[in-house]
Amino acid sequence: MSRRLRLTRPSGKPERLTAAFLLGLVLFLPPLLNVASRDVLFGGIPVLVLWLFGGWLVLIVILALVVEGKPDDDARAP
Amino acid sequence: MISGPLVVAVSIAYLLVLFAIAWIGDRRAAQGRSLIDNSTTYVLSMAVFCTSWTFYGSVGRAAQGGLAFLPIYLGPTLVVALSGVIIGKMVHIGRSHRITSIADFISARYGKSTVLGGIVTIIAVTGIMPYISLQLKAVSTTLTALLDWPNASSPIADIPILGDTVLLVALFLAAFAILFGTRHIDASEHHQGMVLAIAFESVVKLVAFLAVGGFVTYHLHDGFADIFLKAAENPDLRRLFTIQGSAYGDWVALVVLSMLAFTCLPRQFQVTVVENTDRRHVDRMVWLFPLYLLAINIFVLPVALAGRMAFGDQVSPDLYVLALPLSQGAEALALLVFLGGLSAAASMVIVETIALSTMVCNDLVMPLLLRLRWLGLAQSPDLSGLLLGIRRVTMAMVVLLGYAYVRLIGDSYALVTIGLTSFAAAAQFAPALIGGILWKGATEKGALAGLLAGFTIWLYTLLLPNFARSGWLPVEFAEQGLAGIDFLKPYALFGLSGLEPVTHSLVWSMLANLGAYVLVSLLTGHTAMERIQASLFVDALRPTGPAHGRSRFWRGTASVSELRALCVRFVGLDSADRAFTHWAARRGIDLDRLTEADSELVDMAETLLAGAIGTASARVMVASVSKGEVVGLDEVMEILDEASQVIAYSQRLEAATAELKAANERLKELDRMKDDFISTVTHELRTPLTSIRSFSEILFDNPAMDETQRQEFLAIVIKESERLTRLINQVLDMAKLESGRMTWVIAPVSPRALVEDCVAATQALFEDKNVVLETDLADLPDIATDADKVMQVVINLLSNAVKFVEADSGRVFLRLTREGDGIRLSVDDNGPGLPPQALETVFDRFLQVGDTMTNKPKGTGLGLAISKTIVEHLGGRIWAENGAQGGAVFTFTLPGQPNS
Repeated sequence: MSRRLRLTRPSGKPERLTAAFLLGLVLFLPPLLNVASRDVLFGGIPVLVLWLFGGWLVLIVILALVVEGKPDDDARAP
Repeated sequence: MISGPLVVAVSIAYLLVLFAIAWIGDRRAAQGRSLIDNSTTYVLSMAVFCTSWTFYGSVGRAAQGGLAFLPIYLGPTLVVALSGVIIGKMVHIGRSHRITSIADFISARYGKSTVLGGIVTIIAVTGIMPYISLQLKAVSTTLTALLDWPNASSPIADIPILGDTVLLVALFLAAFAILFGTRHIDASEHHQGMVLAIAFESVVKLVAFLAVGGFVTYHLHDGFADIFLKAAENPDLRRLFTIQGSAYGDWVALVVLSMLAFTCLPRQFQVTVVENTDRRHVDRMVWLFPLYLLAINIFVLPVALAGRMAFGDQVSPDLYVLALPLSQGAEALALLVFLGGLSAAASMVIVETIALSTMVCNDLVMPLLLRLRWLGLAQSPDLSGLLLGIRRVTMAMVVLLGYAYVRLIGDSYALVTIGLTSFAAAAQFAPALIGGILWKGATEKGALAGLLAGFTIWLYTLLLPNFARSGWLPVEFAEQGLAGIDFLKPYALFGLSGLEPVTHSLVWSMLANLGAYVLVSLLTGHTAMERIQASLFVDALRPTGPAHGRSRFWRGTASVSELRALCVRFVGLDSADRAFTHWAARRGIDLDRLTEADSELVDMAETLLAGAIGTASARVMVASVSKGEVVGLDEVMEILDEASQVIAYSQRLEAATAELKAANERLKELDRMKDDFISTVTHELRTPLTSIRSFSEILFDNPAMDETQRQEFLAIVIKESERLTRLINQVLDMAKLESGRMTWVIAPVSPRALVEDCVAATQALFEDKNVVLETDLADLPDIATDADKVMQVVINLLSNAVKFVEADSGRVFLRLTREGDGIRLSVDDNGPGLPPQALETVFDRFLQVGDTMTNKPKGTGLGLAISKTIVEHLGGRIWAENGAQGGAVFTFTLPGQPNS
């Protein structure tokens, strides 16, 4: 019994999605935004554009991985 | 130059295609082969979020503010990640309560309040209807630009009405909404054809935007890097690559605003909640919808930069999307772009019109009509026609009013800024909506106070000054404040200046809204109905929540025939019959024999009506045909308490189970220890018994044994018998101690005298082995303890020490000192000491230090175990350590009082 409890992940999809939401807040809001907002081009693209669109894409990938993950990851006793 | 007739023909052909798609969608739905029951269509229909304001306006914003257009799309990305808490829950509630609109949702949450539904509708109409005009204006502006290129566009008011394509488009859209938005009387049913058409339009606008983006980026220029590098040479454009210091506040405000608006805009609520066919679609939406937003935004900045480099100030930035292909002679592409913009505008107009008309009909007009007794509506035999009529008229009015706005105030400041203004209006619903599904304590009065406070501030700080700037109010109002009072400047209320108008308005209106909502909710109470609805909404996702038995709250009765007649009047004979028969079949009841409706049937009927006329009116109508009411507040509390008690019980039960499991484990452990104990005891008893027996046999078999040897053997027999006796006594002691049957005699005793008695009692042992016993006994006050038991412990420690030191050279040191109000006694020897691993286990039963196989055991293995039990029972502590010189040190403490 205790062994099985330990093997089940303590957090399901809602918690992981909320964590992704918090990551998004960090990426898209100051103060980290200030770090990216500088007048520098990287490979011809402004750093801020790379930061925002790159961060956006990373967030989408994370969201996709979470919701498309195996459903039994989420299986918890009601 | 594109010919006018061609554009009109293409536009009309496109709109006809929309009709065809919607018709197919509805037809397939009627055949039971839904085309929208998949997550992709769901996501595409949600993309109605991207209106023509996105399609043309994003580039316009980017051309002036760089990445400042992006927060509008980052907000929704963030909020869908919270779908489990907010959107998913809204969808679940919406489906189970047959919610028809956001006004209905809020009204239902706060005790089916008619007033709240009405207020939400009024705010929505005030704040969002002008947005419909903005869409039509976009169609007209882009149409003019397309036809008149490269001339300056002529003001819309100059176009004669009859030749006005925009009017034609508006009429088409109104017809579409009426045809495909009122196919069912039940507004909570899905408008499958409409949703399919919206999804199609989302594809068209995305393809169109990607086409023009690709054209600009890869045909006019050499990719992203090329555009950015060229733009970087112009310091004015280079400024757009970063966020200027003062813009961070607006950035954060826009992210928050778009999060709230995405959740609360009536059209988003319509496609997300009302049109949802399966809750599981929400899952995939979580990443697919942000992906759509990312795709439609990826070319915005490059197009804006390319536009500014190509046209400077010659062309309005809002038209870059169209002007760039036109300037290159790419007329087919320009036409596609126009169709994309038309799609964006049309989808918004259609969905918003349907959403607003449902709200106006169900939450404003119907409640009023039903209350006007002289109309006799409450008795009218068939109201379904009237309902549909109201909705159709509302739809036509919404679209035509939108058109009138365009003609009257087309170029005003108020209309141009309506995009964010309407976002801010929708955001006023957020506290009541999101608070309502997360916080049970929120009350109707709180929601009302919050909405009114927020709406008032929104009016004062955003809409009215916009009017003033458009010249409909004295412009001094916007610039100098109401009656010239500095503190009341609409754009710098109470001296808060330095913010964009939208940010400023959002800060104050949210502060007022949320503040009033929370404060009034805390200070007011619930009615029974509010209490019921609050727990149904907040606990909607809890499997043990009350959602599965909401009929429990109904204690009244109604006659089946009356109830049925009521439903027929509002939803029509077919739908009512189907619902009643379905209900009866599921329960195996013969409906014809049933005369009195039970609470479940009444609840079913009310939900059925709610889908048609809204929750609040449904409540009023059902109450009109039923005797009895919902249960009183006290009973509601009781029922809810029962539910929470059941949960509490089950939690306690789980805890008890865990305790039982632990106890069971402990019992098994004890059982195993008992077995060990018995086998060890018998083993220990057998050793002396064996030697007694064998020496006795030798003596018996050899009568001629010489005297000295006989004496020697007899001495062994005696010694082993003593050992046996001691062992048995100790086992008995141990058993008594463990079972708690030992009698304890607690009396004041002088520690020093007690220890001296022990020394005297063991003197013989020391002398036999010629071991020196040194003592250092302090004079201590009496302690209350059991003298006999303590003596047993001290004697045990002393005899142990004697056993383990060398004869002749052995030394044992006994020290008695004060410890708090009790004593501390240690026995220190110069023997071999204890192996480190034995320091803990030496007090275990039958543990013999040293290898029992090779060394003759020196003790019974019970002495220290008994000592430990005694000391602990008397409230002290005993432990072993190795002394500095290598010998073992056994120490115990005893308190002044056994229980302290």
